[in-house]
Amino acid sequence: MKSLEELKKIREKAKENLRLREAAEGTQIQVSMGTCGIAAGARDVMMALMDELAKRQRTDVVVTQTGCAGLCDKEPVITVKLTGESDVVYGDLNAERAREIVANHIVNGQIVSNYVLQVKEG
Amino acid sequence: MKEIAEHVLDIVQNSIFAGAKAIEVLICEDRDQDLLTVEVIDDGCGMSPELAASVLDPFVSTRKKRTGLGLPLLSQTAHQTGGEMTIDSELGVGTTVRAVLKNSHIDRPPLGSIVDSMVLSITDGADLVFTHQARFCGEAKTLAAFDTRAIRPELGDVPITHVDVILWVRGFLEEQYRETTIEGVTDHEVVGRTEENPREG
Repeated sequence: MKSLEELKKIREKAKENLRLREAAEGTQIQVSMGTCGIAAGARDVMMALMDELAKRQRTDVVVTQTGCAGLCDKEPVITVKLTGESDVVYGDLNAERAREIVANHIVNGQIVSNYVLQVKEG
Repeated sequence: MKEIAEHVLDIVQNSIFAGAKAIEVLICEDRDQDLLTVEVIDDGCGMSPELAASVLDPFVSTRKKRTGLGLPLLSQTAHQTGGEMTIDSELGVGTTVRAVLKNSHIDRPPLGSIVDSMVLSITDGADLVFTHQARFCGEAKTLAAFDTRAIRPELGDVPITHVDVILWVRGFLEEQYRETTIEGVTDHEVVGRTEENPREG
């Protein structure tokens, strides 16, 4: 049974992680969640991202939702923002590809070029 | 949309865009009349009667850059089962979107992963009061329920958008839905769907 006690533990752990990860602060993944994104499977992509981040103990990464960016035919679309690096927009994703991006890009710093739509310089 | 749950997630996005502070999602199954009712109730900015009357036009939207397909798609889904979608909206008060579907109709999409849709709705707005209930119509007992107000005191300054919190909420709701016998939930394995079921064409 899920208990509120567990939430307290999450709270303690989150505080600890915050201290440990201060150097890597600001890693963010935006998931496009307009009607087009949802219809293409953005929800499953987002759940897979979070599941994979949790498995890899990278819950310092913030996963947020945004609206449609006009790339409806490339949905599901996500943008990976690492501090000090160009934003990378990935498209045509599914849950499996989302996990790949967490493993390669977020954890190891290697862009997964197969699914890149755009690299936003600056 | 392949699932009713995806429609719900989409309609909730409208509520958030409308600046809602409180959103309620109700799912109600009526076995006597063979109906499934899904309601999204918000206290957002509401719509003028003119806008409310025109939102089923796919080219009407209040967002820049966008077509407004969310409501027309839900309306279509409801109609193809012989049901209907209604919108009650008042400027400055809020909007209620209610879709009634014929439960046993072959064209009724599965309810789908309502858990994941609820989880992502809950965690979209940081200060949102989000409540969710599933029940059989006319029965007081809820089959699944969630209220963000219940967990906020436990979280302290940890945001509800924290990945660990989101996954806890998911587990919490999954436990409840596993016990339910609502049609469309039981014919769908809620748990672990993302891994076994890659996106179809």
